[in-house]
Amino acid sequence: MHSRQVTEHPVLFILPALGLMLLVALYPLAATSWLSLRDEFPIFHISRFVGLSHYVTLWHDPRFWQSLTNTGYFAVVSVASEVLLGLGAALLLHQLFPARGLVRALVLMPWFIPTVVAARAWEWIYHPHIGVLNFLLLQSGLTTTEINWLGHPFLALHAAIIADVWKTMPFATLLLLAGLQTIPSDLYRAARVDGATGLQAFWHITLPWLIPVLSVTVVFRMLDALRVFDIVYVLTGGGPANTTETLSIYAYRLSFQTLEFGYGAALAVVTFVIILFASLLLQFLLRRVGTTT
Amino acid sequence: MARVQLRGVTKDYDRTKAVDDLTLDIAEGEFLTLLGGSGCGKSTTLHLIAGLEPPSAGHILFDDVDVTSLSPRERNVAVVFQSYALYPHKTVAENLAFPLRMGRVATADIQARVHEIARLLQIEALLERKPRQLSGGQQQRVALGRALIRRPRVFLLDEPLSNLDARLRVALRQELKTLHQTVRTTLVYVTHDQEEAMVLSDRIAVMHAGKIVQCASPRVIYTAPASRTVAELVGSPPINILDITIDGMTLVLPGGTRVKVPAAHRAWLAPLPPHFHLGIRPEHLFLTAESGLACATVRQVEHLGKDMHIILDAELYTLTVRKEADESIQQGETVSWNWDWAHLLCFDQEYGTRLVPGTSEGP
Amino acid sequence: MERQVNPQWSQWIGYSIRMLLFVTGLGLVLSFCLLPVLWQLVTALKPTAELVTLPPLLPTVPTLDHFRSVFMDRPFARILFNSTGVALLTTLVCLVLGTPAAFALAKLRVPGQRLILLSILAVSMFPPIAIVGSLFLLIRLLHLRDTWWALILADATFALPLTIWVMTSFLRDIPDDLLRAARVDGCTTLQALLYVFLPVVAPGLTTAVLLTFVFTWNEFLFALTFTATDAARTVPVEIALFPGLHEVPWGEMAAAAMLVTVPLLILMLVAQRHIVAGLTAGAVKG
Repeated sequence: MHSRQVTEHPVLFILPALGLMLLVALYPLAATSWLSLRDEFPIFHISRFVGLSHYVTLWHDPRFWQSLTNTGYFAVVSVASEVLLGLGAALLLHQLFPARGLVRALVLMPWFIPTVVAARAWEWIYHPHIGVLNFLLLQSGLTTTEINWLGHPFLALHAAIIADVWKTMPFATLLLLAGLQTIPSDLYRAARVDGATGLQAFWHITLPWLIPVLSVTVVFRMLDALRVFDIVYVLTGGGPANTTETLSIYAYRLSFQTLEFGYGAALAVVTFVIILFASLLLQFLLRRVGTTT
Repeated sequence: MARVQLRGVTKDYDRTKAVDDLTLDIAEGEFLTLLGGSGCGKSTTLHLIAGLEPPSAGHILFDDVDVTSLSPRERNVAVVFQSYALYPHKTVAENLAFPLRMGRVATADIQARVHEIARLLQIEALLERKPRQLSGGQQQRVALGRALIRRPRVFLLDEPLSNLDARLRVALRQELKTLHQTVRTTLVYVTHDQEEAMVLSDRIAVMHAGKIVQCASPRVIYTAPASRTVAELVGSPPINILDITIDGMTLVLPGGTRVKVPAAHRAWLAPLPPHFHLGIRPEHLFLTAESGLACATVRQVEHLGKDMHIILDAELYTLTVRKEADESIQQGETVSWNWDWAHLLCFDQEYGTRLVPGTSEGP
Repeated sequence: MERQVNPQWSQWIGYSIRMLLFVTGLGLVLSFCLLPVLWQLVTALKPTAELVTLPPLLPTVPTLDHFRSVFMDRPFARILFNSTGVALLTTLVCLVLGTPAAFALAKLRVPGQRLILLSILAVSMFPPIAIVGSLFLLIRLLHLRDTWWALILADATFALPLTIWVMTSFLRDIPDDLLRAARVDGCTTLQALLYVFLPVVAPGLTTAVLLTFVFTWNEFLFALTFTATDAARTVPVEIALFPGLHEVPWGEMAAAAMLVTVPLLILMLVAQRHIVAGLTAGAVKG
């Protein structure tokens, strides 16, 4: 009988996963950061260290600030809409009715579809001449002209937001529904005995109980929304006139279309930092909200 | 069957000592209970004996052989957990067979042993069921079976009865006792229930804050507790404790009542400090028709069928008296009470250790 | 006494109104979620001539022409094969790497556990754009450009946090005593994972598989950057690149969309309970 350690090394269980993530995620991040300090134009055979000059250029770049505004606006409006809609849908799905499982699965559908497919579907709906949205609006008399949803600077961003909300609302619905289902029904019974109306019960029981789930949902979705690329890229490509260009799209174009690798890398790093900062800020704020209620 | 020895065993978690320099000897075939409240370290000690955790310091020996670095399997111990921890995806038969399969026992032998154990524990009818289809008592039996089937040297049970309802608990307690007497394996039992400990054990090790406060037979623990903690832990209703001052040959109770110490018990006073805690069990208090030591009001009467508990209120202290049921005693009555001088226990006020006066204390 | 309104009558009215609101609300939600997809289905079945004008809303003579041309005008079958292969292999990699990691984090005491969990979370917060450039160069260096493995590596890395998150919360729900019982019965930690925990956590595995599969199937940015030809191109990229030289083939795109969506739909309807459980597993408990 040989001596054996009473417990083996659990670190070995984690190492492969960590190793992969280090290689494929951390190393490129470090490489990108390094790249952001250089000028790399392989075509012109230029490769030199430029320090923080890209970051300075970025600070003065109006297109950067435009994309930052676009991204911020997109994220806030999109997340707020999908959480509100998701809450409404969750409240509806919380009731017992026949085929509830089926309905829930159907509501989940937009989330399942590849973002690209969703973008194309909405692009088709938004088509100014033969899109069904304009058709319905004209037919019902709500408008008198064809609206160029994706071609109009103000409308395009909102059209993208609607498409994104459509795609991501099911996720919020699911999380909030799960949260609703953990509320003990005794709380509502006690409220009824105390004479509360339905609305009061919602305000004083349901909402406070949901705050942790809401926080998690909002944080996750905000982080996703700030990184948005797929749906906007396919829907509008960043146009018209960069009014829907998000940080990720601008960075992508810099690196892969105009091939300004160093500058694109700088923007990518800045995007990462912004998102990191945003997530920490959100967590802090939501923890404050959680403790004060 | 093995002798278990713990030598200076310590277990640290972060900055707390769950088990603090423990030394314990468990005889072959003995039923030893680790008794204490939550957080006293009894479950941790069990896990250390099992080999589920390595000690931070110290050694564990089975039959004088150091097993400290051996795995549970290599020590040949078996454990029954509070939650039974039956494998939910396996049938009862597969649950019973699992330890044998892990030990590479031949399949034919496995089948024979499974049936043997099932017969012993009367669960043959349940062999093809899954754990979720069993009642609490049945699950407990399967857990016992899985532990017994390997014929372990040491049998470890971690509060196996606490998930059962009261009546089932009493019934299974008796079965456990019988089982131990049949199988005679060294058994270490963990519980917070003092009644269980008193009924089942050969010896009880009372634990507090990671240390063993006293290790003795149930009788000794009851009549000669090493400290106030131990005295308060065993016995139901709990022991009465009074703050006493000595004045010459008189004991002064809280509130000033003076009690003269009878001549026969004077020697008893000598080694005692001027202030101490007096312990007297409810069954050693009695009500007297004539004047006893003091008077008190009956605050509450609890009838328990054959016995009754009387809770006496005397302003600065409360006493619980246990006696045979008596209809005549009413709530609100003023009564006088007395105690049995032979059964007084004295405890140090600061450290709680029992002070042993030099007079008859009982065996 | 007759002046009193029959309480049952007013209750009934209140109930009916609530029912009406409920059904309307539900109807609106369902419409919102389903109509865009249904419209794609309608579009896919409409003959091209009817696509360029509205009305008619519905096709007079439904046709499968668009579905046919999807497969004939482009290597869609190959693309589907690529997507399926990459998704399956990525899922496999995530399971093999992620489950032991989740087990260690949920059940074993790991030094620096908080730090590890935080870094895993951090990886899932990366904006892919921050690494796609350097990753592209790395892939090219390893001669993996336009191969399945480039995508599998990248997708697995980003799907791993999700797998670990799901598996950890499922594994945490299993009582610790089960691991102790397995150890006492003679299992090494690995044997305990394989013989005891994996069978018990099978629903969690199913969820992790489904979520990873869907994530990889839908992944766009890496697929766009790392693939060049139909050797490795996946469905989302193909659909994004659909627009032909002159006009946009809306019918064909809709048909392609349907081809991609329907298997996912079936998968989802069949397994929706697992997915719901998985997605909500960690979030509700925070």
